[in-house]
Formats: sequence, C-alpha cells, structure tokens
Amino acid sequence: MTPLLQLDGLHAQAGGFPLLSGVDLGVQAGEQVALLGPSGAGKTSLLRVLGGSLLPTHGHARILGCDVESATSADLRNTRAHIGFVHQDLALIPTLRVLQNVLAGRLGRGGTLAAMRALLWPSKAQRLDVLALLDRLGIGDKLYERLESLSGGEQQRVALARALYQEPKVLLADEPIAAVDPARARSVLELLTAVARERNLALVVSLHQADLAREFFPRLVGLRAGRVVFDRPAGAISDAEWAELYDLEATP
Amino acid sequence: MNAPHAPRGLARRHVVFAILVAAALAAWYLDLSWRGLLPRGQGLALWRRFFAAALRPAFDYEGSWRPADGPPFLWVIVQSLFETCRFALASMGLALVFGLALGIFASRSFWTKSGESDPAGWRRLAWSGARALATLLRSVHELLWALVLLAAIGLGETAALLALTLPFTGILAKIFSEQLEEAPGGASLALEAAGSPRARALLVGRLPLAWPDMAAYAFYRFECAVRSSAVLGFFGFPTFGYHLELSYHSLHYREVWTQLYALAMLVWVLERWSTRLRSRGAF
Repeated sequence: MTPLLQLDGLHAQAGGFPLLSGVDLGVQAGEQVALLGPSGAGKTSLLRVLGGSLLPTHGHARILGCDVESATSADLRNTRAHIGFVHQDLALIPTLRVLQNVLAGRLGRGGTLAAMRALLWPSKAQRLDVLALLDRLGIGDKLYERLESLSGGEQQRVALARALYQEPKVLLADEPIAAVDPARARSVLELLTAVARERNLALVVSLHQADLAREFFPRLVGLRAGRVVFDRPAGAISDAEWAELYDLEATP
Repeated sequence: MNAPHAPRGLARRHVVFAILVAAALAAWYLDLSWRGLLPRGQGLALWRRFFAAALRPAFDYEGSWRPADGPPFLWVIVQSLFETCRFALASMGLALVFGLALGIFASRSFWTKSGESDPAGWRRLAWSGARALATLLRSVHELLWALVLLAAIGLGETAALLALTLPFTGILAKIFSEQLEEAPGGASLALEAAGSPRARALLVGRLPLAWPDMAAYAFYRFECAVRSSAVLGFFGFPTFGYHLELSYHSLHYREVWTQLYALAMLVWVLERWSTRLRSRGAF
C-alpha cells in the first residue's frame, strides 16, 4: 500500500533559517502518529509540510498522490482541501456563528459564487451535515451561537468540526492540548483518535506530553533541531532516547 | 526598528518644542493679537444681535416677509431636515457598496499570492489602480465636487447625490482597506491551508473580523454626510443650507438659530441611534 503522506530527505526553511533537515517519513491511511520534541524542534513546520502549506527547499514530498515540488497551485489547493488541520490557535472567525465557521471548511470547493452561497445561505442538507458533525463532537446545541460566546474547549471542537467538514483523508493537529488542563487533555485526545479511527483518517498530532503520547498513539516520532531522532512504536523507545530528546544541553 | 525607549521620547519632546516655536513664529508673522479676536464698533453690534438671537429662536417667519402660500416656518425646517437626511442616506448607501468593493480591491492582501509579501506583475498594477482611484475620489472635497458637478450636469438631485457619493466612496475605500489589512490574518491563512483561494479566504476569514470597526466608521461617516448634505444647500440644492442661507442673508438671526438648534438635534439623535445599534452588537 502506498502511503498517503511520504517525505524523502526533506529540507525546509523560512527566510534562510533551516526548519527541517533531511526528514524521511511515511504515513498510511488510518495510522495515528504523535510528533514529540522540544519547542522549536520543527513539529509545526513538519505538520505544515504534511498539510501542503510549507513547500520543501530540497528533497521530496508526496501528499495524497501529489508531488508538491512540481504541482500547480490549483493542484496544491485541491490537495490541501483534503487535509484537515486543527491549528494551535484554532484560527476561527469569532464574529461569525458556529455554523458558518464549520461551513468555511469547504470554502475551497467549486467556484467562488457557489462557495460563498453555501456559506451565506447553506442548504438544508448542508446544515444537517454540520449539525451531525457537531452532535458527534458533543456541541450540537451550539449550531447557531456566535463563536465568541463559546468556551475555549467548545471552540476547539468547532475547529475540529471545520476540519472534518472538509471530508479529509488526513487530520493534522498542532499542540491540541497545550492550552488545556490535564483532565480535559485526555478527553481531547480520546475524541481526536476516536473520530480519526471512525473515518479511517491518517492522524498526525504534535504533543509535548510524552506520557499521553505513549498512552494514545501507537507510533511516536521524535524531532530535534529539524531532524527525526526516532520513529518507532511507543514501547520500543529507550529511556536514553527519551532523555536525549528533551536534553536541552546536548548539542544536536 | 527597536530603538531604546529613552532617545525616542527625547526626539518626541524636540518635535513638540519645534511645533511650539513654529506656532509662535507664525503668530508673529501674521501679526495676530488677542484683541483681534474680539469684535469692535460695527462688528460688535452685529455680534451682539446675532448672539442675543440665540436666546430667542424663532418659531415663525421673522419680519413681515413670507413666501406666498408658503408652508409654516417650522414645517419648512422639518422638510429641509428630511431632504438633508434623504441625500445623506442615499449617497451613503451608494458609497458603502462602492467603498466596500473598492476597499477590498485596494487592500494588499487581496492581490498578494501566498508566499509573496507584495503583489507582483499585473496584480500590482490592479492594486495601484484601485488605490489611485480611491485617492483621486477623496482628494477632492465634497463641496468642490458639488461645484464641478453643478457646472457639468446642472442643479439637480443627481449632482447632489454624486457630490456626496464620490468623495465618500474614496474615503470609505481607504479606511476599509486599512481596517481589512489590520484585522488578524490567522483565520484567513487557515482557510488557505484548507484549500481556499486567497480572495475567498480574505472575504470569509478577515472581513468579518474587521466588520465591527467598519460599521463604527461608516456611522461616523454618515454623520459627516448629514452635515455635508446640509451645507450643499448653500449651492441651491433643496437641503438644510438653502433655508439657512436665506434666513442669514435676510438678517433673520432668530430663524438662523432655530435652524442651527434643529440641525444639532438631528445630529444628536443620529449619534444616539448609532451608539445604541452598536452597543446592541448588531454588527
């Protein structure tokens, strides 16, 4: 089976500053992967590469069958439309209703007029689709609320609903539990992994908490200074490797 | 960019000092004196009559003259206020539509592709064109537009409407494009990351964030439109200023004060209305 996401010897940089250096990674449909590593290790950059938003400077990235180096911008947009991304700051639109925020997930589909009409005057079928999604995430009663009136946890579920409304093949989440208390963190990860399993999505999540990563994810990828230091099942990572990952003194 | 704080404060103090010196020099050059502010002789008598009238506004035509079969004085005021609002509302309605469209075209992000910092090629041309048009429209004051249009198409509703609509479109376009630029871009970028083209992401991810500020500014501009529309009457359009000028030139100062009070009341009512709409979170 060919992987949904495949990176080979990938380098990426921003303004001459290296973000990722020689990353090899393949993710299959239905696989659940946690990215670990200290701040600045390149977790977010790697997620953006997997989402088709950050283009490599060297090496090869094949995302949902699209070779991003040679793809046209229309191909890239089409690829991105099939990748759900839950951003760390959620990146929702506070002045719009929950319904519109979720509908915006399909803004990239079809022509401009059709897309805008679906957002402003959604059909009954579209509204029911959104409602079903919100119900699954436990916030069905918030459909017509203004986003800014929701709690942080509820807003995160709206962000997840927007990503799922894209009908993605891949779900990416950047530090979904960074701003959540420990009790809530567990339920966020339970929800993410459960919906990904239900829909057979490839799930890639960046995390800081090694213990939670071990508990919820069968496969862990350790990043340090833009390089992959391990890529293994949770049980097969030695204490020394853990120590090295977070050892701030060690030279990378 | 990030200069230490103290020298910047020092520079600001120098600027303030320089402005004060320039003001003193200008006053000396123009030979200004405090006594010049107070009227004397003939002027003083007129001044007294004018301000004495403030305490006794007229409720009917002052003096013996009245228009033949004319409506009562207060009714004329009501009617002219209505005309004033009519022109202001109509031209603001048009200016909002055109200003919003032009404002979107004049914003940098509308023409910038992801990865660029500035628009390139023909997109840069379109961007500059939209900005130049907005500048051109607003660099001519509405009263000058009125003079030009009077000469071009004559005294009529179209001329009055265009005289207000054209500059207000330019002003709204400039402010709207800036407010759009200043709105946080995170949601817009996220929509692009989900496969949306940039222009759509801008409309959905940024415009709603700038919306409350844009509504507040549009209300302020509407107040300005009411005042400008009133002044258009001085050129013969049937708005407030027409009757004000008539009364003033007939030396009917009590009539003038009634009209000024009425205009102030109208502006106050509009101000209350806009505050209430905004505090209710209607936008």
